Amino acid sequence: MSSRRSDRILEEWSAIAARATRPAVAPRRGASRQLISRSTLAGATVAIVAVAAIGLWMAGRGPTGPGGDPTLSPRPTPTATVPATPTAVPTVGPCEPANVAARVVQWEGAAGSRIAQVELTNAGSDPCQVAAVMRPQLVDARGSILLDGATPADASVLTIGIGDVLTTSVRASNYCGADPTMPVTVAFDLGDGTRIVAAPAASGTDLPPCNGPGQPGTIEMQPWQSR
Amino acid sequence: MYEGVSFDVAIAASTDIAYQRAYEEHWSDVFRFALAWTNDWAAAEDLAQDAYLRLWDHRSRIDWSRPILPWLLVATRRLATDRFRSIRRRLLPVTATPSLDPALRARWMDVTAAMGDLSPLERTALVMTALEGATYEEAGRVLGTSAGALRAAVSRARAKLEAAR
Repeated sequence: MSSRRSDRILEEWSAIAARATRPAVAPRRGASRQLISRSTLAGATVAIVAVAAIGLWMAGRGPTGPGGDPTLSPRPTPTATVPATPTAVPTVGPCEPANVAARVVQWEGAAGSRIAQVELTNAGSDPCQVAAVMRPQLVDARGSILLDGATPADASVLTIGIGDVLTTSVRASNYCGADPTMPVTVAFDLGDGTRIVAAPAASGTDLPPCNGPGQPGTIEMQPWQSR
Repeated sequence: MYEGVSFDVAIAASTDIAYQRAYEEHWSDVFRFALAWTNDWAAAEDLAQDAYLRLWDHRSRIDWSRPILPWLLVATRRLATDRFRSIRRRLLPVTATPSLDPALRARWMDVTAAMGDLSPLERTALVMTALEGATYEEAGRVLGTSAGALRAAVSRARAKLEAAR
């Protein structure tokens, strides 16, 4: 057995975690209640209790205001009941690439660089979340990656309301590769095998100049911001 | 392990078969990742369930020729950091370790208490690199941070566990 306390804790953690039992049936989206996770049920319960409590509170508001008349007999306490079919509880999940629309508004020239002003719109039917900083890429019209950014260290996320727009600027420098298929545009790798590809700018698309052959090109983005 | 299993599309002709294989081969990996992140047995079971539901929802758009485990772990992390999920859990804590053998619960509570001093990132980075065999680069891609930041997180985690009494 290891003499380090941290190793002993990890060994114990691993031994107990190995006792977890996989549910026999893989979850598949369907009508079966058993596929609804406990946290979803808990959320449904919270929502129901909250609505019931607000309703009772509103009903109890008389001329005496929110505190009500202390001499009135107490109202029945609402009890939490899980509905037979839990209704959808609004949860904000990650934005799916299919539900957001990105476009390069314009390219700007800078000293040795090109800067793309990019908009990201939540075109879906629900609010969703995106990483405040993503891994940017410069891609050509065929989707080939010309410049690849770094995986961001910032793990913070932003919530985009329905129809809301985020903006960022992406700076690309030192592209010394072969002539790409134009127009080039910007993509954002989401780290899970998917990416958001911005529609190219209507005009003014230009490649970042080759400042140093043999030197790596760079591409980086500012954090997304609300417009 | 984090090289994962590349499903041969010719063999797994149906996404349903591929999904089932992903479930059978990686559920424990997903659960352990979720457990490291949350330090909560019941929450980890929920997260694993929801991660697979997300995979089910995306099954037609997934490139099944690539390793699926990184996708599952990233999805799990994103679900775990969902702010509404964490709010719900604070409002209505789920009964702890409902599926854990009662004989193990006391041991698990000790481990949970020790690991509770660590942040989710520190805990998960430590488990992934020390137990699951992931490199810092692999863990960094899953956790959305750099290898350097993970090294620092693992170092902090070790120090906290050594200092805890």
